[in-house]
Amino acid sequence: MKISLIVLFLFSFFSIALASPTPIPTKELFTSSSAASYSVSPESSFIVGYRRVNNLSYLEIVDAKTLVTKELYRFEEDEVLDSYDWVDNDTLLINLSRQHSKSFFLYFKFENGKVRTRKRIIKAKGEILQTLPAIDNKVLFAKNTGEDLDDVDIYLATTQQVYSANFRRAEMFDNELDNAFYYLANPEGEVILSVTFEEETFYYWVLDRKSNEWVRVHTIFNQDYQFNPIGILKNGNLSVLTDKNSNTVQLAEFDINNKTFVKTIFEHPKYDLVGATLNADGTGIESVNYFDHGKLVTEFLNENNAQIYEEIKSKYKNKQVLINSKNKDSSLVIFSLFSSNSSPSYHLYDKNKDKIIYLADTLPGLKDFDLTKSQSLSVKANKNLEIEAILTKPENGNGVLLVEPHGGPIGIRDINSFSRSTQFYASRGFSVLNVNFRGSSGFGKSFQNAGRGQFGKIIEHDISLVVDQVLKTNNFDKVCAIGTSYGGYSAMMLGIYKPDVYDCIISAYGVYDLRLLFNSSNTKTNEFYHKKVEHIVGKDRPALDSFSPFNLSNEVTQPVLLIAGKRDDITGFEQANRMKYALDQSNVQVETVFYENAGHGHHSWYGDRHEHAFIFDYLLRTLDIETPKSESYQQALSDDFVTISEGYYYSNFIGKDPEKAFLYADIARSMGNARATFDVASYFHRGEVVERDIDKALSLYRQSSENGYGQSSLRLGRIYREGKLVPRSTPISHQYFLLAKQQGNQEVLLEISNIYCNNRSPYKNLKSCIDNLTAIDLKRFDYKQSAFATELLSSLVWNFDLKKADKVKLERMLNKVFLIDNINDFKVSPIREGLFYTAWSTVNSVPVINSRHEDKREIELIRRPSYREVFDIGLDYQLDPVSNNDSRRGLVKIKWTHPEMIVKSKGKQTQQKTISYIDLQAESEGKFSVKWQNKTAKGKWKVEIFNLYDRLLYQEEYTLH
Amino acid sequence: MKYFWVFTLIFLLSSCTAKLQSLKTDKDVHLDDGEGYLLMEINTEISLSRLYVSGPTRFSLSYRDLRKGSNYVLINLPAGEYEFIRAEMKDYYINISDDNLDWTFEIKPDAISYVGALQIEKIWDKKFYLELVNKSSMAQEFLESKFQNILNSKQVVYQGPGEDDFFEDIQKLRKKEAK
Repeated sequence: MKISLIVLFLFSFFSIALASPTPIPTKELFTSSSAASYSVSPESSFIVGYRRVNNLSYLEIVDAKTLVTKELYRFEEDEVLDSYDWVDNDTLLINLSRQHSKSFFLYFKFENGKVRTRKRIIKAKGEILQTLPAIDNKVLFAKNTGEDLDDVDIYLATTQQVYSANFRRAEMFDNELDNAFYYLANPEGEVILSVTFEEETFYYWVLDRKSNEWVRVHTIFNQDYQFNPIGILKNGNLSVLTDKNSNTVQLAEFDINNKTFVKTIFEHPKYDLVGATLNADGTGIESVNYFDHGKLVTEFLNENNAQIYEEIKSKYKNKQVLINSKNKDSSLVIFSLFSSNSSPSYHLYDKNKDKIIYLADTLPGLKDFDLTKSQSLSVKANKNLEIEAILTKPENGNGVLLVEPHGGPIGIRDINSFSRSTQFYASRGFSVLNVNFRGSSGFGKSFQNAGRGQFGKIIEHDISLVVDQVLKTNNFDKVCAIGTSYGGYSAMMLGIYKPDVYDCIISAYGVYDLRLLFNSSNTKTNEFYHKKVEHIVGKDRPALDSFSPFNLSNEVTQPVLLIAGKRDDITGFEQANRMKYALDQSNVQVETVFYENAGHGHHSWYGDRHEHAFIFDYLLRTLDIETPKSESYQQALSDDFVTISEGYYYSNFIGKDPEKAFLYADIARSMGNARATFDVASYFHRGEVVERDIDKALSLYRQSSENGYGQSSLRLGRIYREGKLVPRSTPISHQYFLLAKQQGNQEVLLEISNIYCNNRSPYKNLKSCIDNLTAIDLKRFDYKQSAFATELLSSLVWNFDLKKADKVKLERMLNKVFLIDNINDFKVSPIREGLFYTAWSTVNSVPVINSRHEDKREIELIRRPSYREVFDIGLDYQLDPVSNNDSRRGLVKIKWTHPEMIVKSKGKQTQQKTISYIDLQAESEGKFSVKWQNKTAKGKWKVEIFNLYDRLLYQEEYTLH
Repeated sequence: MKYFWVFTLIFLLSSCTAKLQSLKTDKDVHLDDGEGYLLMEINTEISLSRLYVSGPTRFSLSYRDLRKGSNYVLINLPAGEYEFIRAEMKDYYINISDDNLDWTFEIKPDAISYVGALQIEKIWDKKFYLELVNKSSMAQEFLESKFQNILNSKQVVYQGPGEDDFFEDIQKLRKKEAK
């Protein structure tokens, strides 16, 4: 009996699992990778990787010998990593994204589990062409000498010469090539190759060592074939990935002197090579890569490293392996593992220990979910032609197939690898089919060229061929065509061609009027641009109307969802609006989501989350799909409804529509979504869309709070603190704040800190004050909240008597939360002192700011300042580290004293002899406005600047007459 | 002396230029022989004070039609070839026709000539990106919502960059649907 009960229990559990796919929440899928770019130092045991955890971005360092891991460099809020390279074993070159266009060297020491760093911003104008890890502390630098990009001098320089912009002793390369925009050096730092670009043509040049002259080795016009140099081989020949003389991209040896290909190093009979790597000394080829049925394959041309690869492969049979980095003797190898049903993860192979060590996951939030495995398939288009495709079919699917052609269409492809979007749909029960139709890359030149000029023709024929095959061998109740860019066009055409197959069309960022590609703006009417377009869509422009969904709108029979970005400068928003107009005229059931600030896709993950949530909802509504009743499914569905609701709430997202925003929030609320319950409560609280109803709002806030939503608990805490809607109650308010904290709310930490840190609070408590401030993540706060946190900190350092034991905790908190890395070791260096005058005015409606400085201690104010004038006394200063450290932020306590200063507080006039505050900036100002509460406070003003522990760093007096 | 001539030229340019303003009411004005309507959108990230256009009538648009954001302009003009010349801001101006792009358009008699959307993006400080973009469907929607009477009495013809049959195509589509 006992056994049968267990069996019954297992069976019932199994059937629930079968019937209910577990949707992956959009926030877990559409989010930045939390790990990237792991690489190993050239000749030491250090590994560096980029991490992004809880909104903090940093480089971490791992010592492969001890496996001790430390934070190496934390990026400031305005620093976005673009790339980094090893300069040598203890120096990195960090390039920040172009928006900030700042590069710096990071020198480090990692000993005994402790990291010390030194950052040096590169002052020299120009760019580092190449780091040279084989040469200690040297890089190849192109120094700008004029306004044009090719006005450069090339130097082999030390990092010190580059960051200080002092090239007097650097080794100048004396054989620059006119108009060259790219140079490549061998590992020894000798320039070997350059590229010039003139009149739409790329010229490749190699420096002949004997004659010391540049030899033009190759010319590419209009990029009609590939020619990607990999490196110079031992025999002096160039290794190149090319399809000039072959159908597939092969690795070939190019004789520089004769300008001919002399040998094929590696060629796959069916697939294009997508990459090749050089061996450690840069004189031979180590490996090549290609995609076989959409899966990445690496073939080693060197047996030693092939062995490492095979060992890794044998341990992770169902995963694809990419070698990311290895040290000089290949004893440490960083590789990533991935597959269609697992997001990439980084690992280290230690050859000497014969051990594989896990480093990081790119999307750790997916660990709790079963991802769907994709399968590769192929269909014969004719005797000699096979079309490959990828089908992702969840075990407990909902019977809907989404046919999703890729963009491009020329030179793009789908691969059998992890895809956020595919897993989004699959986890919600949808199957996804991706077809590598003719025109796709990876299958040779003739396959790719066969797709040119085939919009609405061979391409859709290939897709349909695969769809027919998939429908024959699988049971699907409904099919929708869905795609982005070219895929959006293709989805429309598939729907038009096969009305009996497709039940709906979802088309995003697509092209619909092919002739509009030739006249979308006056920057796109020139011959060069037209040739480029013709190379893809074909030359017969009048015939394009017959293959333009815009002209075929009255043949569309299915419901259509059109998605577009109003700032799309690839296809242009006119394409989508034109299509919508035509579909409306043809009385087709069409819905639109036009994103105000999106381009040819989204710039933020929030946009992706919204788009996918909207499509999911559209599919449910349009195909009348009954959703599984499991809690996880309903939770994910209601979360998606909240995302849709939010989208209608903001005015510059898809157009504000409060009614729809409320409707979606209310549906999600009815499904038990705590966040949505809070949103609906807010509508009743504000009286927006619905009539103001405080009782209902409070009841919903409580319900949401009981269901674990911290923001509701916070709101209730504030309501009880303010006492406007309910009788004021500090204890109830306090309880709600503590509940919100327990529920993981960040914002409430400020409220709680205020209770403990505030000098006037009955709950004033140093330990709790520090503990709560320590838990704050300032990066999640807006400017106002951050200013409040600084105010609380000020209260803490001025109003509490800090004991020795408190200091350690306090310093840890200052470092973690406020990034203060210098407590004692700095001095205050004044830059300017005296009177600072600023006034605002307008001249011909243009705002004008007038400012001046007078270096005086005795200051005579001739007139009272007007409301547009500010008279400040005091100083501009900077905090300079005393010893040679690289600290970035210190903390000073600033006190101003004036014997007669009167401050109004809560209607009463109180005497206050000092004004105290703190400052956290390295370069800042200690100024005091002489206009205080509409009075000009004359007399003697004394400023004192202390460090955290009240050591006087600076003092000065200013007398105001 | 140099400034004297610059100011003189600007003065001369301004003084012989008609200052025009977009129609505000949906009333088909009596067009003189050889006159037609100009329809365009000005989509600018920075408010302009004047936009100068040369042609059979040299004219400028007033700041009321050139505010930051999207502004449609519908005015009647003598038919003929025109060209965008200069966009003026309060303290700066851009010589539009200085680049290699085509900034000309034609006003057809007794029709609404849609010439495109003049987009002005601020790149940084005093660097701007100008483009004349074909947004025919949005122009059609604008006319339908604001100038239905004029739209009923006049044909819309595309006179923007390149050639476009959008306005003819939607007429055909309407006829097809009507059947």
